Amino acid sequence: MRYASLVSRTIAYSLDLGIVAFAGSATVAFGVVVASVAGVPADDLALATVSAYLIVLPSVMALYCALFWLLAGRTPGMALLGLRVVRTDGQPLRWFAAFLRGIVLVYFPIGALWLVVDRRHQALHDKLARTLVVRTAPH
Amino acid sequence: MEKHEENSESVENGAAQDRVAQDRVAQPPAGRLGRWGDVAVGTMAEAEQASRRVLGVVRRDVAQRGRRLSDGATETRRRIAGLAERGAAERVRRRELLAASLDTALIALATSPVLERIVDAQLERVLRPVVDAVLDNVIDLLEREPERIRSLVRSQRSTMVDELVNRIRSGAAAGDNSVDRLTSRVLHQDPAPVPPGEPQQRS
Repeated sequence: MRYASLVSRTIAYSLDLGIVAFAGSATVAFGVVVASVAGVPADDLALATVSAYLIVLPSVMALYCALFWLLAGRTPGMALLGLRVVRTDGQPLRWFAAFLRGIVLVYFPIGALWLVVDRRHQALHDKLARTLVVRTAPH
Repeated sequence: MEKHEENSESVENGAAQDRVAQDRVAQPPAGRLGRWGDVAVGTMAEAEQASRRVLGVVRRDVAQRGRRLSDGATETRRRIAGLAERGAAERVRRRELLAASLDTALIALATSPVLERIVDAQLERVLRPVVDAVLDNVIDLLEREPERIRSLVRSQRSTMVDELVNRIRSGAAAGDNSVDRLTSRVLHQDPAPVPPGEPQQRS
């Protein structure tokens, strides 16, 4: 096993973000269609859409990541790349660490760049949640 | 004074000796036999001179003939080389001509309507029943054992997906290694410690 570095984690995160964005966009589009049929004014619709993209979508992303880390130890993007999140002692994540890690990653993504200079490739959210991202696939 | 006298005396002695030698040559040989001997010697000398002239003429003639023969041989070799070159070119040209003729004949034969009718008739007579029978057998087999083709398709699909996933993982791992090398070179970092073992499965 080895620590996952910048490229693998970026690809995995981008895949997860794409999944959430696709699902969120579909939901928003459906909501917009329903609201326009119901006669909601266009200004209100635009405000709701922007709010959904700026506030709700990051929260959904944090929830998505935390739930997958908690239940499977990996998100779908990480599974594709052969990565897994574990605690520093090698054990699976607990719910607090998972949610803290997800929220910090989503709302402060620039802190993830710390993994480039860290010996164990721990980003800021890894340091706070005391987690590691390791590569389980033999490469 | 004495030396001058000695020199004049030696000059006089030399002149006297020359006169004696000239008298000896001018004197007729003694007797008739000596005269015929001189004739024989003169004849030999004359014959020798004549033979030398003849030999010279013969040598010049032979040399001229040799030169002429050499020139002739060179010309002959040149002509032979020219003939060989022309023969090779002619051989290549005839081979190409033969190949082109053969191609034309084959194309004409292959595209001839008669041959097409013959081939169609044979295919219709022989191949179609075989294909129909084999297809029926294959379809029957698939109806009886559909799992065979299903597993085949499934394994093929999973192989393709596995290959794609492996390729993505390999590329990402290579990118990770490149980033690690760059950062360790810039930051002079030691190698990372060994990660902890496999996490325990949740019950």
